[in-house]
Amino acid sequence: MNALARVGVVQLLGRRIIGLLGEDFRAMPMQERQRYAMMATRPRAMETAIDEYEPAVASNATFQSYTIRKVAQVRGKTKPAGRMLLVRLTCLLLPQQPRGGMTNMIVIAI
Amino acid sequence: MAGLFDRYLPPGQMIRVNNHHLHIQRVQHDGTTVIFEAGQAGFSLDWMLVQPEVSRFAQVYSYDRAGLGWSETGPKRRTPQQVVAELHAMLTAAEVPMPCVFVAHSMGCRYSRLYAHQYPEDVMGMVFVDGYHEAFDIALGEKKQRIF
Repeated sequence: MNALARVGVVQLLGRRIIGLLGEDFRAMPMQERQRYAMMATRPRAMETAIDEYEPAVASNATFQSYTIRKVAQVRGKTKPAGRMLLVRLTCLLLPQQPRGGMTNMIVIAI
Repeated sequence: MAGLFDRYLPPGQMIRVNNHHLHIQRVQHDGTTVIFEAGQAGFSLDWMLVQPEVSRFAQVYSYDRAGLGWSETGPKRRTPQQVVAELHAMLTAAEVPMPCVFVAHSMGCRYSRLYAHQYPEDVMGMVFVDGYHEAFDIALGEKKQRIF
């Protein structure tokens, strides 16, 4: 995407996108928000996202065979791994999430 | 592009990986290593509000995958294996202390899982935030996948 188109996207959609972001993000200085918007829409960002997504989908079958190790050394002792905890929490910090929005968080202690 | 990068200088270091440079930012020098992995089309600044909070008790790194944020474009084929190989090379070159805890968002969770599979001794834990799973694509179906 050339610079003019990029600026156009930011001008057209930037306010709407930023409107969807959290209050913490909107409260940040304009300069910081501008830096985020400009770097997020840098040249080739969209192409890169597509280049990443297609092989990721293509590798779905392989991915199901990927595992994490079953035991771990924690402070010198062998502990069972793979304990998972699903937490639903109100996310106030991630800029992608609207304030008060729910997000899934899975914690895996290996 | 040079103009954009002149205006917004990289907040972290540029690390050479093969024929391109990747951007990594470290906050705090002590404690457990925590590596932030952004979601699809995301980059290090996605964590700019989280990183300072976590850096109160951990050594925190965020980075940009090739072609995103301040990182240079890498080889065209962006397979998960390629992304993870570049991440491992960058962490090694940057001398990031291991093992680490990955904190990943969306598509980034996939890369963290693969990293933990390929380098099990380097990963002591993972936190998935709205994690992406292959079952999502299967549920979505091929037609909707293309739209997505």
